Amino acid sequence: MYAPKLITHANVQIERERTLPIKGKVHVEEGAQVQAGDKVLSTELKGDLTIIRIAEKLGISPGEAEKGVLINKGDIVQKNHLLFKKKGLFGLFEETLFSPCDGIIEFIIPESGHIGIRSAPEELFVNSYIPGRVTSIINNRKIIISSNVGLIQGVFGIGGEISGKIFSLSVKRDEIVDAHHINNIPKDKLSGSILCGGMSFTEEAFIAASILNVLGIVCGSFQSNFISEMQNGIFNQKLKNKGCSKPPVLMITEGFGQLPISERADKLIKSQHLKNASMSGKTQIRAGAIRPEIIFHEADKSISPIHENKSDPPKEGEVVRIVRGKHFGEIATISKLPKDPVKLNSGVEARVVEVILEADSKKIILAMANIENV
Amino acid sequence: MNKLSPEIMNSVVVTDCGSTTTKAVWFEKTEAGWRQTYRAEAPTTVERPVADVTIGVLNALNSLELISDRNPLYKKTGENFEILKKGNNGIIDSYFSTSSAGGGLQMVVLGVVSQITGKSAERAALGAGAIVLARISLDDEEAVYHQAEKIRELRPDIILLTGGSDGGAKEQVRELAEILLLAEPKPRFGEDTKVPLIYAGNQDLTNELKDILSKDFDFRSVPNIRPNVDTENLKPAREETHDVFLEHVMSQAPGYSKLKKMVDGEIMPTPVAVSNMIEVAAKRLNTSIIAVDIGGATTDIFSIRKENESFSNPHRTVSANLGMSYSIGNVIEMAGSNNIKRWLPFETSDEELKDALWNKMYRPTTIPETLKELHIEHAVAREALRLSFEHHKQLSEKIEGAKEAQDISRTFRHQLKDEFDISQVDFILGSGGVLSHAPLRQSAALMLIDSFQPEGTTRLGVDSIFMLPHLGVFASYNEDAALEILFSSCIIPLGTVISPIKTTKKINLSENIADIELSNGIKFRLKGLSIRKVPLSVKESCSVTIKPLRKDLDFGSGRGKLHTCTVEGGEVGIIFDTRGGSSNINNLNINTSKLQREWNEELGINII
Repeated sequence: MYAPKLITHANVQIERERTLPIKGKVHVEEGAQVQAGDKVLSTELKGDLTIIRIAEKLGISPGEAEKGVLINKGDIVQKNHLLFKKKGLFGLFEETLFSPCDGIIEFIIPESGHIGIRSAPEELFVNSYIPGRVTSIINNRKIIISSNVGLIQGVFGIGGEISGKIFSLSVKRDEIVDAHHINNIPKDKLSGSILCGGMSFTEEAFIAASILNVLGIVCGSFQSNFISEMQNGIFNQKLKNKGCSKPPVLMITEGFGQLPISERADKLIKSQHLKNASMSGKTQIRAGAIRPEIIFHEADKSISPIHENKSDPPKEGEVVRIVRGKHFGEIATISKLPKDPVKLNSGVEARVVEVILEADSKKIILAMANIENV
Repeated sequence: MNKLSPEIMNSVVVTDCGSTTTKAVWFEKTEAGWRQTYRAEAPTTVERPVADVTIGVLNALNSLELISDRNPLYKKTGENFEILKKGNNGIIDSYFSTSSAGGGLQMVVLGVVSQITGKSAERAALGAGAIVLARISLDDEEAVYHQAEKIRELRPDIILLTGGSDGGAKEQVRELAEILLLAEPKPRFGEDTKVPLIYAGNQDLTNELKDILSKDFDFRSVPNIRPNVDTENLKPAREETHDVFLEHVMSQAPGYSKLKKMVDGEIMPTPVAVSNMIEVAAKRLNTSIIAVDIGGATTDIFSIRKENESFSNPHRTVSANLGMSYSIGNVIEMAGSNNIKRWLPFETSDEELKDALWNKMYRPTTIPETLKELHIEHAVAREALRLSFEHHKQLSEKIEGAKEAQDISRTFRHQLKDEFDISQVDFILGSGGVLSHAPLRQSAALMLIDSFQPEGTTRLGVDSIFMLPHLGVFASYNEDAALEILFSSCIIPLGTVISPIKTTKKINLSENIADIELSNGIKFRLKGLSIRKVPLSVKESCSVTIKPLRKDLDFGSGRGKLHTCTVEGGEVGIIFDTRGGSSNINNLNINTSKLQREWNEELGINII
């Protein structure tokens, strides 16, 4: 029976796709080694089209609009360039229109009195995100990079991709990180870092970290209300009021509420203190489930690697995380896999698993559906 | 003889691939007749890293072999596996399957102006039961390439493109088409298929857009949702979305083509299978039925009404944004935490509730370990069912005496003719994990009552182990056998609920409501805001006489009039409900958790 998993492991074989929105240029060759911030793909995106509707704007006919147009197709204009001028009623008032943006005049349509201005093209580039080897190049638009890394997958995250140095906080796994934890650390150590550890962060700690230009935050949990505030922009407004434009990328490893970061994740993070890592907060639960992740650039080669995509049914001796009920978030080892369904405390009958808790070696029975592989 | 002839079918295995779990069921002809003998399940495996629905099927069949101690059902050769039939080293005659493994419907909508056609498109999509992932318009602040990137990353199941009144704007609609071409979206599942695109904009552009977009999209067109600025016509777009979802999207789960080769006949979409079985059951029982199948990603409702001596066409809706695992977040958003908390027999903070449900949303295959977790899930189920029923009623509504296209200025003033009179429904049947696997049958009964708020005299039942889809596909090959299993093994009669019809005046706590007399000698006075249970076993029936103690109360014979009826028993018995519906409960200025405890205790439901 397949069990879901969230990987926490010091040596994982992974592949990551890097893709452009449209075809462009590939800057690496197949087989090349890349570092995390290397530019690997780029393209030019057509600028936005701004349409000036002269006739509608001034309440005149397209014919009248055409008479006052002062530019031609192909002209390069800058913002506030005069596009249209016409004397008004009895020659008393002048009607003018200025360009709202820089660009090139793409079209002038006499029949409608519309002018189209195309903004300058934008260069878009994609970096490699992780160090590794380029194993495939597809259609001048996509490459695949393979690597052996340390990996922690989270339950939920917010934000895009960043790279930085890990800063492992000296806090207990079940400790809530407060602003004083942040303010006691030299500012230069935090700027550009990925701050990790603890059960959760207070709002003050989160703001303090944001102001100090921390790029990412990883901890055990956050309460759902705080996450809602982040998702609906309320928190961003609070940050703006403190002079900070962008919140750090966020990842939680255990769940919502107050859940200590797992010992396994905590240990891995501590071993990577001040080392390089990449992080993504992207989360999608359907359509190819995407989990947030933190990728440590240096794998621990002293342990055997696992493959990211390998999935096996649970077996005795396997280490798992409990993801429901009283022991939510705890790590345990499977000791038995009974065949027959058992009635849980909730009254629901389900196939169960007997596990030994890592924290105190106690044996408990729980639903097989409520464990996940690590 | 055809290998699918009923005469040679004695042992059949059927799987249903849901959004969260794959259920395998064994039907066999025994000495006592056709019966469901064994059942097993495993998590559905359409999502990465497995991304192959047949692995979940294999796991479910493997569990079925273990539980039944019988094998082999299948043979694995490399990445593929083959179902083994009699005559080929196997032990069964046939294997069928249903599927809804694609789960909920996720859409992106595009309109020229966000607050006009954009909003109308969103309403059309929501009305079809979809989750709207993004609303893209030309007046968005985002750059075009960001919009295109967003569409590509979101991987919508269906795209709805609108814009321009008929005879109106064209250039802007073409710009939206350009964004779609730039995006090159791939479907969520079925990498080699095109994303369905429904065009519901300026009809003058239909042919031109079809030429431009058909190469990259499965292009379909329907009448304009905004034919002019003052008119909104959502129905054609809504119906097309609903149909495309059922026919196309649901069949695109990864591994679907492998599963197709394994089954006898065709894979049936789960809602079609359930609908088939409901229609067959309604005609056999000679009664109007509402049936519900509440799953992980969607909640499907089916209704068929008896009209004089004939039956209406069965009506089914799929609320693809309401469910108990992947879609649980939408239930919280749409219902609100107060509407969920009103069903709980204990106090909890909004924060604690939301944390619990978000954890379930991001770990959708988990099940409740504690009683508290169970009550919370049951409370959410009530809201999912209630909202889905509203959606069902809405999609079956007819606008009284007006044209189909709705005049915008009348949107909030017109009167809808509600086709759905709940007091005319004789039987409510619940299916889906949260109902079928409720530890206590009375919990399932109370969930159905709280969600549908039946009026008059209504029988209740549940699908014992969630096998309606399995029976539905089996019925298309052997209807008699399917019906035999339906009544012997599938439907668990819960009993009958009796409640006043269309109460308009408030019902107060402890007020005298009615005097009740049963033919077995039991007599009592019904009080306001109460639930009263009278045991009456399965296959028992008795006569109930109800004397209303308020002139406005109608129990089936008119306001204030004495009413006598024969009711059937079940695992719970007869339930008298004088709570006046959820709106009456909402208007109470008293602690509802205390009342919920009393109502749960009356039915013998454990609290904490």
